[in-house]
Amino acid sequence: MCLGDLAYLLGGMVPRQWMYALTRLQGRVQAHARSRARAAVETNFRLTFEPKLSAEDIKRMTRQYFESRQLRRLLVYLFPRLRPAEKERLFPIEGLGRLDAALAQGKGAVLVGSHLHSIVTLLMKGLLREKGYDARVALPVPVVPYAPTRFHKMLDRGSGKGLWDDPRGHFYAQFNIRPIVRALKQNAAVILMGDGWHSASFVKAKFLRQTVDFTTGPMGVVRFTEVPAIPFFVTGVPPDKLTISLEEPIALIKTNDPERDLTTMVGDYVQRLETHLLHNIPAWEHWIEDRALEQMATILEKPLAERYKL
Amino acid sequence: MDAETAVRGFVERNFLSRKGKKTLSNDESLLDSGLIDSTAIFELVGFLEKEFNIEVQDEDIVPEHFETVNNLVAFIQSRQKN
Repeated sequence: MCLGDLAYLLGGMVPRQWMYALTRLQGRVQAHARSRARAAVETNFRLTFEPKLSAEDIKRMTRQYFESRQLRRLLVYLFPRLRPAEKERLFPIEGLGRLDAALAQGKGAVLVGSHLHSIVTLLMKGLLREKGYDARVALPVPVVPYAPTRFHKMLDRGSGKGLWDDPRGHFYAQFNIRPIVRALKQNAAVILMGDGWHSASFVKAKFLRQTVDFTTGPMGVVRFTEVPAIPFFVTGVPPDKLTISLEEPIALIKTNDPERDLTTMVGDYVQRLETHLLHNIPAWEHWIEDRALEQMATILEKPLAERYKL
Repeated sequence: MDAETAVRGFVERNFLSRKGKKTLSNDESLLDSGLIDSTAIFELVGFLEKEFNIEVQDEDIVPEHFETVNNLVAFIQSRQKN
């Protein structure tokens, strides 16, 4: 039985605060027990933020990283069991007017998410659909992540419904963007990750004082289809201090130099990501990857097949 | 026009100059080199469907078929046989 099963089983019975406390503890235990993962996170913090942050700060942030990671997972597992009012409270969305204005143009909108609390980003599809939006999400892998386990399904047999039970609205795109273009033609809001590593094409961007590669995926689609691109970021601290903010759209640039256009548009997104990241350092999922920024800087040296496995 | 000439022509006209390249061999990876990305594949699929009167399914849009000019030609020929 995994955290997801336990959360699902106990979701209706155990007070939420107890579950949060237990999960936080589980995160702390992981920060101690998973020595390789801990070393990866610590090294990333050290390489990126020293000497601004002390060794003590780095230790504290590493612990917060694992706590935060477990807590957002718990939220994802609890999601199908949350009442609408709880969802409103746990996942407040700011700036929905920007999405309304974009969709009023009738050509769809691309919501550019990030790996700040990345799993919560995936919940956007469910949250928006419950508010009546035709929201879709492009998944980075062919199999649905966090799909219900056998135990979970058994529990579901009664009345519950799993997070991913509704297959409408999520699709595996890889480099086939036809499903995305089709969805946009239907005036859907399509969620794409702006800082993902599964991509065929990248451009250089200044990020955390380094030059690294960022995917052109979302901006490529935006430039191609000329739909509004709305970046959104999940910030704050889980479980009950998260905010989802939809920001001003990224300006569309379409000249005869697609490479330069994409570099500028991606650069705009990256600046915003960096600003949020610096206020929410433990929230960025990629910190658990070995020398994350170094990997991002050399991503194009890897063959495509390897990039898609990342 | 044969498939190889048509595909090469399309790739050269539309994508080669964007990357500042002048030549392209038939077995050069279009994907690893970053010559074509997902939007380019979208354009390429549209071209294949129109030019060769074939239907490309979503499940056909995999690296194996789009890796090189040779792979693309083999894919077109396999669809034309069907």
